[in-house]
Amino acid sequence: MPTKFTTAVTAALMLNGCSLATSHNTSDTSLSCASPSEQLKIEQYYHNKPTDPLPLSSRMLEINEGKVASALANSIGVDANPEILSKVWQTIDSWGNEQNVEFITTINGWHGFTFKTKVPTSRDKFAPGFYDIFADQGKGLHGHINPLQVKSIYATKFPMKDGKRNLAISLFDDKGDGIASLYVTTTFSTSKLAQGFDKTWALIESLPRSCR
Amino acid sequence: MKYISSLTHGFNVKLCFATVLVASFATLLSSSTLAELNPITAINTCAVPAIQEKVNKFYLGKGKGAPLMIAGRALKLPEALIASALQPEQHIGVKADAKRIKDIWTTIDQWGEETNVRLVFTMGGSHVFDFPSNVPIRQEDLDDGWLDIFADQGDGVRGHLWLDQIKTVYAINLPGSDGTPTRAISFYAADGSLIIGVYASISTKSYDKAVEPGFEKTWALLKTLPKACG
Repeated sequence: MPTKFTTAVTAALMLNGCSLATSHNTSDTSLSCASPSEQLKIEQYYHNKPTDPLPLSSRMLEINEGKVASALANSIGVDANPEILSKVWQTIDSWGNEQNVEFITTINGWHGFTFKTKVPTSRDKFAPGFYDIFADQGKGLHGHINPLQVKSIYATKFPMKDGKRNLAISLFDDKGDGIASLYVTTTFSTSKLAQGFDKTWALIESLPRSCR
Repeated sequence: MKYISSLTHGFNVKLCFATVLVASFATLLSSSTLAELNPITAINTCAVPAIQEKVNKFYLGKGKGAPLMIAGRALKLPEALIASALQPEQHIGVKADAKRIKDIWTTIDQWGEETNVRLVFTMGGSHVFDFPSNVPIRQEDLDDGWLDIFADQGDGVRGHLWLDQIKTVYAINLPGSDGTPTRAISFYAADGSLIIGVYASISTKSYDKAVEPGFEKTWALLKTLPKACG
């Protein structure tokens, strides 16, 4: 994986490894797009708690994160493929690798982990079968995302008081489960993070939208 | 509750805190329906001889000292199955329940809150995230079905493990290709997928020597617990 050792091992051994996690190019939107009744539940929830991040509302509502994101008025999503993942993450690269964000992941929808990290940026070379993102010039988070398993990508703007903006980019799998999310809290719309997020938002807005 | 407060930690959400508390409690009470939301198919994660042969061939060859997720991906096997297939002296696998997991993590606490480790997450073998962290320490036990673990007194990683979903725990100690062993404590779901791996050291990588006595304590505890296989 992230080390020289693991890079060597993966290069040698993972050429055939992609099939462990097989591609699910399902078009079954019922798994990742909110139904009308779910949409109603989600809207009611966010009417009362507009600031709740997706993993929290997902758990509260017992509706997967992807569906929750699909139902929010302040959220836009794109059906993902490896090319789109790459394009989106290139805009995240522009947020600045010295900027701080909150990384949130849930393991199979059950176990939650959150931590602060510098913005993980894409690598020049990827391990076979992966889209690699490293933070802090390799000294921080190492992420190896299987691009075939990223079904949708959402950008979400959460309203906040006191002029703050909470912004999120979330990757979901074909079941609507969260793979990883970057959350940003910023006060000024002119901040580098906010401007970077706006670029990502604009890109997603220009692409074919999920659940439409 | 800590899961909730942790998720909201970065958001400065204070306005509806009381509501969140009430709602989180209600959610935990109704958590049985989460099984329908995220079903996990249990498998037999105990390796048969053919699997053992495959895994040991890997580790005797070019995979020497490789972290388990690399072996899992290379051999296209669930990670818990890989762990169970290692040579007897290289692993201890135990059946998990809430008390055992808490006891195990209490020994991980003893590695030292300022001791550096590497944490690894995978999602069904598809995606891998790993990062350096100080040892995440158990938080107050609310006996609510969660194990809350925070590093750096809450400034570092905040993890929330759903205890009922952890079925096995493995300690591994593999010879590395450069003399540095690969040592980890890994927690697995019923389908053999990794929930979290705490790597004390990884072959070819420098590591925090302070981890060694603590890792031995955790190893010793696992030796006393009911075995996952056999």
